Amino acid sequence: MRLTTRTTFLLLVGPIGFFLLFFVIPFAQLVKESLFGPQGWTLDNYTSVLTDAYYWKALVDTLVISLLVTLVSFLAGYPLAYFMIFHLRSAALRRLIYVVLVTPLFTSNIVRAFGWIVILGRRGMVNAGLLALGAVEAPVDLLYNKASIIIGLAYILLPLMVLTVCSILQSIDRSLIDAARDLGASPSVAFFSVTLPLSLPGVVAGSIIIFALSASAYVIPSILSGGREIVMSMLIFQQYMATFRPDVGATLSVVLLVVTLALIAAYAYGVERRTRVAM
Amino acid sequence: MANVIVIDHLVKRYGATTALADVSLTIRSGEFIALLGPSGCGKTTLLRAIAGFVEPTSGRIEINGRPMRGVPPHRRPVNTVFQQYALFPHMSVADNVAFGPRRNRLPKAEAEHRVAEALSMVGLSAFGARHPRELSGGEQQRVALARALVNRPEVLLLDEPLGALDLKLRKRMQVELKRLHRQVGMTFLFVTHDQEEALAMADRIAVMRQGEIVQIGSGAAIYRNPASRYVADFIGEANLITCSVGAGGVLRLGSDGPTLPYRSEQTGSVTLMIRPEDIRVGTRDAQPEDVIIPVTLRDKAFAGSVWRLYVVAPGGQELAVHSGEAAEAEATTAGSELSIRWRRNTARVLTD
Amino acid sequence: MMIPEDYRNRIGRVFLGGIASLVLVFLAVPLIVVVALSFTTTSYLAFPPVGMTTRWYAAVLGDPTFIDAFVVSSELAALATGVALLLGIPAALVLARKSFPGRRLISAAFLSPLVLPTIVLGAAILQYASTLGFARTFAALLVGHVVLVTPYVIRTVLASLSGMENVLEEAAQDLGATPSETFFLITLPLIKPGVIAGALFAFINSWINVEVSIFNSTSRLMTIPVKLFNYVQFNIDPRLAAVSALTIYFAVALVVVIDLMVGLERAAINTTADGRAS
Repeated sequence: MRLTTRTTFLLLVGPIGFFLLFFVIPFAQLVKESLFGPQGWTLDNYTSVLTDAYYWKALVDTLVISLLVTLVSFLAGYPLAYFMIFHLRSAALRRLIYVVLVTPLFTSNIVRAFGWIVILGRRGMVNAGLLALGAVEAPVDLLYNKASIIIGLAYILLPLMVLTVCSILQSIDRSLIDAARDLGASPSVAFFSVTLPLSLPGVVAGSIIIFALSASAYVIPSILSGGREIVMSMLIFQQYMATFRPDVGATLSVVLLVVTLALIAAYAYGVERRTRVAM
Repeated sequence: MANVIVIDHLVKRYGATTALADVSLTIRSGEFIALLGPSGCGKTTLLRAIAGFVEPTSGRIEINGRPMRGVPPHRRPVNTVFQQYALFPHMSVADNVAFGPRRNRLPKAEAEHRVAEALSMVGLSAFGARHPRELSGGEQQRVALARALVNRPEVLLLDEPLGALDLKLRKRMQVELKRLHRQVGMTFLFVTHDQEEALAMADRIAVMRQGEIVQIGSGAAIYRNPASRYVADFIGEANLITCSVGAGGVLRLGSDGPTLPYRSEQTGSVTLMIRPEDIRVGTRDAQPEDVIIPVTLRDKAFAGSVWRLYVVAPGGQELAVHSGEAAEAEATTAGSELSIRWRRNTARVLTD
Repeated sequence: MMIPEDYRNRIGRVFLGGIASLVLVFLAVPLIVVVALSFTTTSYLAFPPVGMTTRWYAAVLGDPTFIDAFVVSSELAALATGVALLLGIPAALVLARKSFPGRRLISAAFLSPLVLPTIVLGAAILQYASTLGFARTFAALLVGHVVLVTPYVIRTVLASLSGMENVLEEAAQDLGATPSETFFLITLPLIKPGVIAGALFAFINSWINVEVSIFNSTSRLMTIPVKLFNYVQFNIDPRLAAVSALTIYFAVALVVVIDLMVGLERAAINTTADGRAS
């Protein structure tokens, strides 16, 4: 359909206008807030935040947790995706798996966090099992540490990882794998020498997004940290709702935004290279 | 005969690429004209410019005297049969065909009548309630035809509509289209890369190359008298013999072969074209005016109705001969020396 | 002794199937556990649940604050989805059908709320609304949610549009349909799956959101997720499980609806992290 310039303008006026008013400008204001002090334009906010060990630790913790989350999602998600694409024959089973994958995505983060509290809590499922088996004498503290945050975040992001890997595995040219088998490769050799390398660029690209989402997550870390761990998003929330320092909040927000945008740029670059190579 | 479409110095450029380089063409009312050429020659661009989907960089298109500059597709008095048929999948066959009449605000009874008429014209009267996905390729193509014809356009534009059909069906549809054309008396503009198709169906053929029309004429005229190497090679099979022009404008085979009874005003080298089926083997029954050349047989292949003989002329150029004389052809063996001959006026001197 | 290849392959496949099953169990267990707990007769949370009762559901459904939160969540999600459709469909149409300088940048900008920190979006809207004087109102919640969920609509409608052949629109215009007739008679019916999937994704993602809602919520203007969020920090009892279970039932129902209307696999492909469908 040929769209005239006038029609294009009319169609875009609403969406662009709305996004300018309620997305671009608020973010711009945030950036401006971070660059402002009592005497006008200044970088003081940034210097004070970036030289503060407390904030640095939070940033490092955020990134380390996100890395581990991405790794765990990958290790758990890739085999499932591979199974779904290469080994699953039953259409009914496939539909069931999609239901199991997508249903958590439609529940609130808080509900999922709550589920993990129930599983890992002192009176929760794991401890009940351990006590019943006699493996321990008193409930173990499994909750409210980095590990539970990692498990919780991995739980949130796992469906996304599986769907991404599924999509990538589906697009691999099967005849390449057949050729490898034909030339004498066993299934596992074919996997490691053909399927895995071919899927890796796309999976890495997808993982970058998952990393970014993990670094931005708020609810899971907030609930499962039990006050003992802190990540960037929690810090930001604190500045606005507890300590009422919107300037610091804005600064931290910009730091988090920059990290996220850098990751997205890396992802876009990776996708660009991949499409160029594929041509 | 009136001119229903006048195309005057049409140019279309996309940035640095030129799709149409100064095309002028008049299409006569009621004729079946084909735009023929390989992909990229501009034939589809020209068709889409007439339909209104491509806006020319410069030049004029007039339909029935009305200039079409600035007129969008939905207001032009032409209809297109698309290569992929483009039937609306969410509508029945009848609704597809009725789409045009409804958009033109035809009264319901009139529209229904026209739809029934169009469907019967293409032999699909009972198919009204079906949906496109239930139809075969050939049936879909006929629905696309009906959908365009029902609007009684000034010109029916067909964009390689037979490309997706298998060979037998294609041949059948060619006959069908010719019959339809006679029946409705409409002007048909047909785009194709298949020269056999163009020769079979069209009253006139416009051969295109790199955005230009290089020759227009009836199929027979173009076949007999191609204007250039390109046309000779594109339509039918041709032997293109490079000849040098000697003293007095007389042609020699190759650079120093025997002289041939043809003249040219050009200097340097020209091409002599002779169709494989116009060449005979041997000198028996030779006429006084025949051109006779000694050759060596390199290879031969049986092709049912003819033998294809591949011979080498003095100087090394290869010629293909389609011989209907089975006995003579069978008697030859690779490497044997023979003579070939052709009627002098069946060959053509081409300047490029 | 060398295990024969056939055996090794079979063991490998069983092993893979085993891991896949474990992962699926991992995905299902937290939700199952919550549902199980919502029926416990004890007034504290302990696993395994003791007995079976629906009194927590009754308590929740009879609690006016929960009902209010439910109404707020639903109104917010419905309105946000409506606006998202009004903004997203035209945007997707232009992005799919017209090339212009900066198209990729604009497309990325529209889709960015999917990957940018939503906590920052929430904070930014709060500050912005404060300066304009409408902080902590339904309107503030609404604009944040619209920004949040419009990308879901754009993404699925874009996928539908690129799957639909351009030539169908040309055929319509060739037959005499004006551009707007073409859109309503041809384009819109054919992108229906994308529109429906987008609307459903938009609705659910607005409904379950916490990060954008918490900033502009008040004690009287609260969504269910925010209410749960506050609850969890102070007051873990089976009522929390009951509300959570209700949202889980709703999620399952929605998944089934999407599967029946559009096909879950097709809709799910649109949610991959590498954005290939767009």
